[in-house]
Amino acid sequence: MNARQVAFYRQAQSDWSVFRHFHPRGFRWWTTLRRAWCGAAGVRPFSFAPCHELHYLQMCTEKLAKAYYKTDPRTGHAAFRRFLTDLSPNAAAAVPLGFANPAGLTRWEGSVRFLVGAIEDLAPQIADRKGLPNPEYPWPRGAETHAPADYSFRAEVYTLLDAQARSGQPPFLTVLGRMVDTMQSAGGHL
Amino acid sequence: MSEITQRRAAFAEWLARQHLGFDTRLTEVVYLPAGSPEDQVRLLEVNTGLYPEPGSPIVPIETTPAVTDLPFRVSVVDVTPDEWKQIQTNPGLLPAGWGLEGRQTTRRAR
Repeated sequence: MNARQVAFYRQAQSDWSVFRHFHPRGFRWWTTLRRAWCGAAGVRPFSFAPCHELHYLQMCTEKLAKAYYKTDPRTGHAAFRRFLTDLSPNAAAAVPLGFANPAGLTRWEGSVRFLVGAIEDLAPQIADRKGLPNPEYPWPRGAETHAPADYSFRAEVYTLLDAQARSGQPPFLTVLGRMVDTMQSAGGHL
Repeated sequence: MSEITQRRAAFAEWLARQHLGFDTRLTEVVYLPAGSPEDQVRLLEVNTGLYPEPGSPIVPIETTPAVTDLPFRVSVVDVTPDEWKQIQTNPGLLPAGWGLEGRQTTRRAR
């Protein structure tokens, strides 16, 4: 990795840590339990709006993708699909990511295709162009009436995230975590 | 056409189909052999989801798969559909040393 790649990789690791703070492993189980307990105890549960974790998820994927390349790809915020496209024929990347062979990685990529697009679309620059909500700024641009903090992002992201996790393929967040952990391995970068 | 040139073209087409298969934003992938070293595969990918900064130069990125014994290096330039139209009338917009002669286009299967 050159200095540019290391810088993007470090920031991706940090973004991932923040995402995991908002969205820890076992998130659904924990959230259900906490809500039940708070309901029984008559306490209003303290929680963050989902926009915050999605903001860091989008940033992590973008920077991880940019860390893969020696020079800056021309993709702007839409770098993650470029990265996955190039990762697929990378035989050395399969095992560190938990796949027995490149075919397994390719099958997994098929299961995340729409989800990856949805995460890229969270970048405000892209979301504005497509008339979609984003997790950072109120919208629509120039006539703002909707706050990300009040929006569920269920249709845009969480439905796809749940569907992929039930697809029989390794969950997207599990593999993304391995990407963050193993980017510096022999197969993880160019 | 030499054997290495044929193998390189076949690999380029395979890679183009891989890329088109995964990234639905790509409308076509153009293999540009003109002027390239024998061990380099140059691809131009027309990407409808690309939003480069205005005036951003068209520069390739190296995307060589980490495959043992692969005899080729892979360089890719991503361009918008508008940029591709401009390049076809002005190939000078391509990276230095790249050219359109002998190009082979792979499009998404309908």
